[in-house]
Amino acid sequence: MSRWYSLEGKKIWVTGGAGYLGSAITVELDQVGAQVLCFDLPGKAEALVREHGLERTVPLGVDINDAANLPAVLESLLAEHGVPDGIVHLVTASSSGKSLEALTADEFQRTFDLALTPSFILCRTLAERMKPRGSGSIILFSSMYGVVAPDKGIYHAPMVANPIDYGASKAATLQLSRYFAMHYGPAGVRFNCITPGPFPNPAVQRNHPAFIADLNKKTVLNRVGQSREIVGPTLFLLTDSASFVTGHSLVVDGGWTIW
Amino acid sequence: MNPHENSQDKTIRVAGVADCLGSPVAAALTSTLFLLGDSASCITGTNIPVDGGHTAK
Repeated sequence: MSRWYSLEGKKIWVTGGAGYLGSAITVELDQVGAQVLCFDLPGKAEALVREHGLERTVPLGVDINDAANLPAVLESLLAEHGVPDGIVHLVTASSSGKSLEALTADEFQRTFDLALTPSFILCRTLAERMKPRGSGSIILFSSMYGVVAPDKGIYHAPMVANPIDYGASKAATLQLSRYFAMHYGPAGVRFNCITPGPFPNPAVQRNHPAFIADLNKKTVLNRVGQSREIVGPTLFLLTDSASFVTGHSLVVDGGWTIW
Repeated sequence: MNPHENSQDKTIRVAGVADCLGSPVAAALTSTLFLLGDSASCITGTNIPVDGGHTAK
């Protein structure tokens, strides 16, 4: 069975690869023998590589959200590192952090500009380069709030309910994934979304126990997710285990969205 | 890496082996193993279409 799940020697790019969820994915990819390019804000990817002693990961301080420069950046990276086998695109998260009443039209637009336009450029550019080879797996990240609206009852002042711009951009990310899957499927390039549920970072888990208790109650597993739990689903979609899975939203939410 | 890790040494009963759903069709089988293992510990109540994108368009 090993060939179905091996990523040894595969070139995998991870955007946002040093963040809370991204770092767990990057570390595991490195440990299983993948050749990883880890994109994050300057300094973060380097720190992750140092901290974990990653031997197969190249850290890159690249601002993926800079849509104007992104095509040139991608071409440069393709020339230096070759066409990747897989992409884990975590840098789709963007949020105003504003309440519905306080959110301006410009702020609403900014979230879409940051979350969607760079994703469109990155996905199309890399899928076009994968197409002649006839294979590739690209994973986008949506959210439970791209599927359902937040329950205002669990957000107590000064906290505001998860913002509308965030959820709307995450719903759009789901559709990006489906459209790209349709377009590049005949060329053998797969697109899927991972749709995480509540994965609060350790500081939130530590400092906001009442909020965590409310989040717990919203899942059928009665708990929030831990970063390691996003790793398996991501690697599954990258490998040949998922060779016939495309255009899918893999919901990793402890059951948040089923009731 | 084995995304199906911790399926080792587990007792798994497979119903319907006499028809096509239970047969070891590779794509379906590996997806099944993924859902059985701890890699899917935060996944419940969902479905994974193994359909080459049939339901995405």
